[in-house]
Amino acid sequence: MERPENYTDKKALKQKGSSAGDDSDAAMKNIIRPNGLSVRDDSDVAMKDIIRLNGLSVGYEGDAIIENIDLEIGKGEIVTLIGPNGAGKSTILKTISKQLEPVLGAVYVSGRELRKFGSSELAKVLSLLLTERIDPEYMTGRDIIETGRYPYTGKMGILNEKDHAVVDGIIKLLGISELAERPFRKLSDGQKQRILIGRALAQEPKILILDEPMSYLDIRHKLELIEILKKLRSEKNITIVMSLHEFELARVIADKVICVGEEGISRAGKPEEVLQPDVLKELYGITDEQFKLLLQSMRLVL
Amino acid sequence: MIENNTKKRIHRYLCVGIFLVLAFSAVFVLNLTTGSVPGSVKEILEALTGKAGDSNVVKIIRIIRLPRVIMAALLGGALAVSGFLLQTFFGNPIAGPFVLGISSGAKFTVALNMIFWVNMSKSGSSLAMILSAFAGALLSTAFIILVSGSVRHKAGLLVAGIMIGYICSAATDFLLTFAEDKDIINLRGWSMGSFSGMSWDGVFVSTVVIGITLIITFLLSKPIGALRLGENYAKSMGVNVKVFRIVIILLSSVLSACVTAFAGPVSFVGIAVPFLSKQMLKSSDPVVLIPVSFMSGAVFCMLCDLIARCTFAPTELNISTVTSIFGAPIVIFMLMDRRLDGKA
Repeated sequence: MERPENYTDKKALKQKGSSAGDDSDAAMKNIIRPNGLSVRDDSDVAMKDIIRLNGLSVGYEGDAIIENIDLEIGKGEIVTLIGPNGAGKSTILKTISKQLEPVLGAVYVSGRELRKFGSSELAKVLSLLLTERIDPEYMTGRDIIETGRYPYTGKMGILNEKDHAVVDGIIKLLGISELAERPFRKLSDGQKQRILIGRALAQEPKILILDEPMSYLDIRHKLELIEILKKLRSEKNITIVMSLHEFELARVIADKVICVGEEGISRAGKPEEVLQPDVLKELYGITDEQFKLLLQSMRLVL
Repeated sequence: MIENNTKKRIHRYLCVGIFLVLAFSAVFVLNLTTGSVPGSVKEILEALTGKAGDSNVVKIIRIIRLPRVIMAALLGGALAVSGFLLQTFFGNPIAGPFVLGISSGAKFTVALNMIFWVNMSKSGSSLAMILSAFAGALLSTAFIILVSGSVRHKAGLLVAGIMIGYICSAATDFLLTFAEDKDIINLRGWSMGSFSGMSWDGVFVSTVVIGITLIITFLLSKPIGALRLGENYAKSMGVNVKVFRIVIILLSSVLSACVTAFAGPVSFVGIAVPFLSKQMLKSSDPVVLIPVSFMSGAVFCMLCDLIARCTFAPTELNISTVTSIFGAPIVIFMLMDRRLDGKA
């Protein structure tokens, strides 16, 4: 994978910063980004953006996969990340949700840098659906959803009436009252996915990070999920950031679509602007013939 | 239906609780009365109240059988909880208390001690032996914790534990090439475990160590429960996974180190008992499983010790011989059960 020229410089800078003391902010301020803006600190960040990525490089163990992301996500926005496998959609989502440390740069949530959040404090603001599979013994769907109340329960994790009411509400909203009473392990992948979405909602987050929420779901449940997410946004003003393989669904749900390709973020904008044949062909590396095939298959069904 | 589920659960918990209390009492009493000199309940009471009952049975009960049965209960319970912790942590039902190399570490230091220091033929569980076993167990633990900081995935910890096991076994074998025959036999005996020769001092020390560890473990039920969904989800709920990893390793290690120090490595209890407890309760919730695993482990070990002591009296079996005979089929059963009914 090719890296921009300034890559090594920045890495050296970061190392210098972290060895000088743990305050990498100081080092950060010295970095002049290509567009000539220096990275701002907390106080400059406007409050209307609930999530802001400032010169963010994401990756594993100090190796950046995608570099220098600048992005603002407004409160109540639904943002979808589209792009080929392995481009780094999940890595971005994991960094926004503090599962991964940023390689460089910073994530701000409600104007505050992410790493300054205590872990249980963040759990009340932001919740997560991961693509990894879990295999808990002797837990019903309801048990799984109830774990979402973790940040709110007391020392022994016992749910009170309010917690139960929240869980009941979510089960009703998702229409999973029958699934919820069954053992989680015996559910199908799609059913598990709906339970896990319920778990994320039970955290009553302001920000919902969903990594491929549509996978495993059949078409009816995909459409239902879209309705539910829209409802959450309009009723509770929840901000949703998710990765999707189904770009055709991005068109109807997203306020903003971000294309994550091999060379990092290639485009970002309104779905009607971004979701164009040329953009998609380039993003996924589809040939003209393949694209025709795709259109043909869609047309035949419809 | 929801109400029903909760009710059913509570009903089940109650039944299991009552069953365990009854079983515990029965096995406890049976352990005190059975032996080369039979005793009665009346004599047990005399031994407990400490009135100067001078009869031999009362003395035997007070000085030999009582500390032994208490230790079997305490250590058995500790092993079960230690196993439960590691199984939850690794998300693997056959991770036992000794997967992190604790028993091999202890065996190595015990061998060192036996060959270069203490003359084993005098006493089976002298203070030096207990201390050296405990030190060896904690040494392995320290190494694991050292590794845990730089291991990305916790499966790496399992590998590290197995490697420590190999290294310590190799070192022990090396030592044994220079050992006398009686040391080799003694070491073999030690590594099969035994509850014989337990003293009241031992009871006191392990009650304190195990008691404190258990209380801390129980108070951590909430984050332990969160681990059932895996480390990443636990992290997203607000568990400080990096620190908690070390806490879990420490807690389970102190429990199994204590067992190893006093009774040697006792096999299978830590794997079979948590499995049985989960099956009985149809739950994996630490709030109920920690106490129930402890009680079940206690009952299981007392029963096994009774069998070890009495089946071929006056010859005593090693405790691991008995726990394995009962424990191994349970593990096999559990694997078959998984295959047959898919997922419980």
